[in-house]
Amino acid sequence: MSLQLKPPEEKTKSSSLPPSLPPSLTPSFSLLPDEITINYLARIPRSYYPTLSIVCKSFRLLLSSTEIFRERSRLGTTEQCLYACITDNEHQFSQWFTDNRIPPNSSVIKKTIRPLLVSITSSNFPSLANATTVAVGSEIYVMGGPFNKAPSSAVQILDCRSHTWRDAPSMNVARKNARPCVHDGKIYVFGGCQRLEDDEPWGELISSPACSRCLCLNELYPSWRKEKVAEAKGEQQA
Amino acid sequence: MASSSTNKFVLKSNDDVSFEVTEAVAREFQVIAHIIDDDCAKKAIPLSNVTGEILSKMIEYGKKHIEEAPVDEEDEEGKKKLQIWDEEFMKQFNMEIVFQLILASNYLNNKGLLDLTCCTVADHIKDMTPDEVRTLFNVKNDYTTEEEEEIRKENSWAFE
Repeated sequence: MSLQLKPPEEKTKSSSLPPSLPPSLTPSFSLLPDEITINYLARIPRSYYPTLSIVCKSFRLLLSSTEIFRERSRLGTTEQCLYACITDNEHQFSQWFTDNRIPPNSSVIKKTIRPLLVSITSSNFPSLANATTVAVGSEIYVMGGPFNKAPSSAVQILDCRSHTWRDAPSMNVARKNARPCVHDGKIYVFGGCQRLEDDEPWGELISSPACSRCLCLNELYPSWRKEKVAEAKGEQQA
Repeated sequence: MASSSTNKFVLKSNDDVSFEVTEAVAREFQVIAHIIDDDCAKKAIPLSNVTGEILSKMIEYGKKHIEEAPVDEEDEEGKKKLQIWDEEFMKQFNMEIVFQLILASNYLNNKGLLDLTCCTVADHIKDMTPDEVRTLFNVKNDYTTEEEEEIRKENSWAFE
């Protein structure tokens, strides 16, 4: 129990105290600083976010901010999500989907039959797809072609937190249906070049926050030959 | 010099209620710890944003977390015990008090209590409709009908 004392007659003041907030008669959560709003929103499973986005504009902004996903990482409330891309044979029309994880016991959702996948609408890029995709952390890398049937050196990243696309530094050569591989957090692509000679860049290390450009593996590892890499990849898949 | 277990400080709420606490409990609140370190805590420490009701609950929380602190990182049993106490502790409050506790633990900088109160809010609002959340938080719907319709369309599966 706390001991209650007579209030001292003299009031003391301290410069160390933070400035006073205006007293609130009606509690309003809009008075809370964003970092607190982010703190409680980051504890809620992501499947509730579409519903919460409707509350007001500031909620919607916070729910798609990078800060909230940083907070989710800090709190350990990140979730595994399924992403799928459906495309036509020529990779001209493609659309990304994510799994429809309806919150359990939600009072908002009454229907029992629901679509399994929902389409991701992205404001800044058309949907991109090809055979060379990998997921690292909360990002999906789409590398090279076919893009309109042709090889491409472009690297694009889908940020699964904000559902926005961004360009990454291009590969050194144009590739089509290259094989991706993630090792030790680094992304490699192999093959997919039109005519591949021994001295051509048969594989590349994709740019990362640590290195701002793609590096050719034949320059990094001059003694390696493409057969060896193919062999090693075969073993890894076995 | 007195040790932190015998050293006492007086915390005074904005409605003139004073509480005598040990230094260890006072230091649970980082702002107060700084005042103590700055040697500004000789008399009662006035807390202009906290009522006596809220301050007594915060001190109760601080005391429990000092007395029942897990022995070390490995002390799973101790952590579990404290977690159960935390859950029971929060059950006694309505959302208005939770809101006051959030503001006060943010003001006095007690991370544990801030996280705990935020957790309570998260559990409380997650199954609410947008309208229920607006009422609870006393926030206005600042979307136009068209904008709201657009967002509902974007996430149509969630509102079917």
